[in-house]
Amino acid sequence: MVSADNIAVDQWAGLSPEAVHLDADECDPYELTHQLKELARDNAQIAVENPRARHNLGIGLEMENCEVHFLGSVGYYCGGFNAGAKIIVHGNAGWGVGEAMSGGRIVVRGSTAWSAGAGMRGGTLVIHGDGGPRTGIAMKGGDIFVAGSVGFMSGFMAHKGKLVVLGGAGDGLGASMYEGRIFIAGRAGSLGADAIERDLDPADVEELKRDLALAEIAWPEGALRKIEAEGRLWYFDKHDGRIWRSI
Amino acid sequence: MSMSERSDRSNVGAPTSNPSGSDGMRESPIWDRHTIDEIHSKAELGRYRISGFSLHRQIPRLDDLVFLPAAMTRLPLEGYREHCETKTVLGARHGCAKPLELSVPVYITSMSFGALSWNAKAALGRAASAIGTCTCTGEGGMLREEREESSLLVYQMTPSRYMLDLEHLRQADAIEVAMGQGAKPGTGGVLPGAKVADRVAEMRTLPKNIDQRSAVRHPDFLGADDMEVKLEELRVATNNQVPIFLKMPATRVREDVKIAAKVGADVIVIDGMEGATGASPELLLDHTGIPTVAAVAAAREALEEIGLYGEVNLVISGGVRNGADAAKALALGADAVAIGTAGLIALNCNAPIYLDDYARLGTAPGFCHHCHTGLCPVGIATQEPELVERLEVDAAAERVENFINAMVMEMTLLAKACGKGDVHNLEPEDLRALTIEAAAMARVPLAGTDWIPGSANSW
Repeated sequence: MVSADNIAVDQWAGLSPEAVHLDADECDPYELTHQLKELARDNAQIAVENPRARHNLGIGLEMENCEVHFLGSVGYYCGGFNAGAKIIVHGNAGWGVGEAMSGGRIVVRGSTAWSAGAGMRGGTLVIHGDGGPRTGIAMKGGDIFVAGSVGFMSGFMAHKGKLVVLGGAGDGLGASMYEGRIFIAGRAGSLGADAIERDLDPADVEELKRDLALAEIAWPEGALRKIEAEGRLWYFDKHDGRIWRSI
Repeated sequence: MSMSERSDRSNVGAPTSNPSGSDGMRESPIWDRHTIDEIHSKAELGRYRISGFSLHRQIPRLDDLVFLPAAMTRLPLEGYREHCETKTVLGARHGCAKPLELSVPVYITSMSFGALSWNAKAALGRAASAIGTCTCTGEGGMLREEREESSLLVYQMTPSRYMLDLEHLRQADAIEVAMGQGAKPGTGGVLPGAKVADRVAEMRTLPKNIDQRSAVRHPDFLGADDMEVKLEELRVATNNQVPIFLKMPATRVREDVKIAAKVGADVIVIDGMEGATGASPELLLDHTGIPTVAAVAAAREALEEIGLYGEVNLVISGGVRNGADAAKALALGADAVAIGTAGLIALNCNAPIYLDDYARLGTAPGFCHHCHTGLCPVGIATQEPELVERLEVDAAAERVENFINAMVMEMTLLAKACGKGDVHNLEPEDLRALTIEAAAMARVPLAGTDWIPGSANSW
């Protein structure tokens, strides 16, 4: 099992020699989730080999004492319903990584496809590459940090929580948010309906410095901007009829 | 100002003019008083009207069908003595550990805490548990009281995903992926600010008292291929312990049902256009979706065409009022029916009590559709503590239990008259239609003929 290749991969992924290895080629998503829960009892690190962009890897995990490393790219919904585990994806992630997560930490070393962190209620999602469209859609809590850029409609209908983007964003950033907060360093194609730019206060800066240090993402060179909901869509007002009739 | 604080002048008095028009008072069928009132309302409000309850127009219904009980060609069962089975199992298709085993083919449909008060939810749960059937959370997350009272609780996953996480997913006895509802197909939910009270706001992670307009498109899948992966995710998250329902409004039923079966639903719930709501743009109630009677026949045909009828379970909802409607839905192909409004009426909706409060809303018992105001006089569709108190859980639960029992007795009465020892043995051949429209939609012959309009097959 142990070969020169494996040792090189382990070092690259930051795995200790004691890490236990699982082969995703040899189990379906149900079996993999079951094995991860079993192995987490006595192991601090589990490395999953050959993820091969399969869907539904590492669903509904809650062990807080064990890291799960996927040694390659993962498909849809990796880490969905995560409730405490630390998951590291050494590759890219497909749609909905970390969707509905309520706790724990998911780190994607590469980029993510659509809807990363959709509907999440807690925990932290770190994306070292780019986030796709609709990153942080419908999020209700927790934090998302993206070192690169995000696609269109990111933060759409976000209720609460924080989306921090060090690059730029596509069109419709923060459309129809409630009480979520978006911080962005680069340029957004456009702000979405009811999204408004507000000044950062010193507390925001302190909070973000701590956050980014933890996420191992460098502080941006340019200034960060804060995007929030103005609240004009929270209540119907007939004087805003021209807005309402087309959105 | 929130939506609900504005007056809705939608309750119009009974006609007073002479229908013959001899007194000179002739109402135009085009510009009738409701149409005129609607234009006046929009001119004042600057928006479409929002309303609760169901539609306000005549459509073909299950009511337009009749049973053909046994006479010379069939032998009836003794209606008052012989047994007729009602047990119903939903969701065994993918071998989950715990398919829903219901004692009757009737359950309480998805209605949210928020749209309904906590005690209405608790009473419905208690009644369903006493009967041996299930309830459904609806969109607003899983209410503690509802979970405690319901022995079998279907947890709804709507596009808004309120309160959806592992902790709550694991408490579900089934998961319902909601793709819309019959009252407002293709449009998300509405919860006027008056009902977004503290606890409702907290469960939905919303600012208090805002007019909530929910998402309609799911945030992390778009098409059928994504959805198949999504359903697998839900199964993995629950370790395939519980079945997965997929609820959709009745629109392109033949196609939609086939796709729902393909993506892996264990149970398909079709909500006809009669399906009611706590609040909806009024025009969607009247002008979108197809009637329940048409939906059930189309759904059955779709499953038969792909060879999955009987394997994928079919639940029908939308305007099911009594045992006759329910038995007809089963005869046309449903495994079970889900009731909403009928259950609320059993709770006390539109009961002739607290008349002054109905009057304050500009309505009266028998006419009230003011769920959207949050000022429900009987404490069901409200979050106002003094109104909520009016619904006493024990007594309300008993009324709903009585009602469902009565409804199931009606179903078995009809089934036994048709010679069936199991309500699920009712079949389309047991039905005839009273109108050409119903015959065409239900695919059963017009009474006294063997004619099914639009069908190459006659019986």
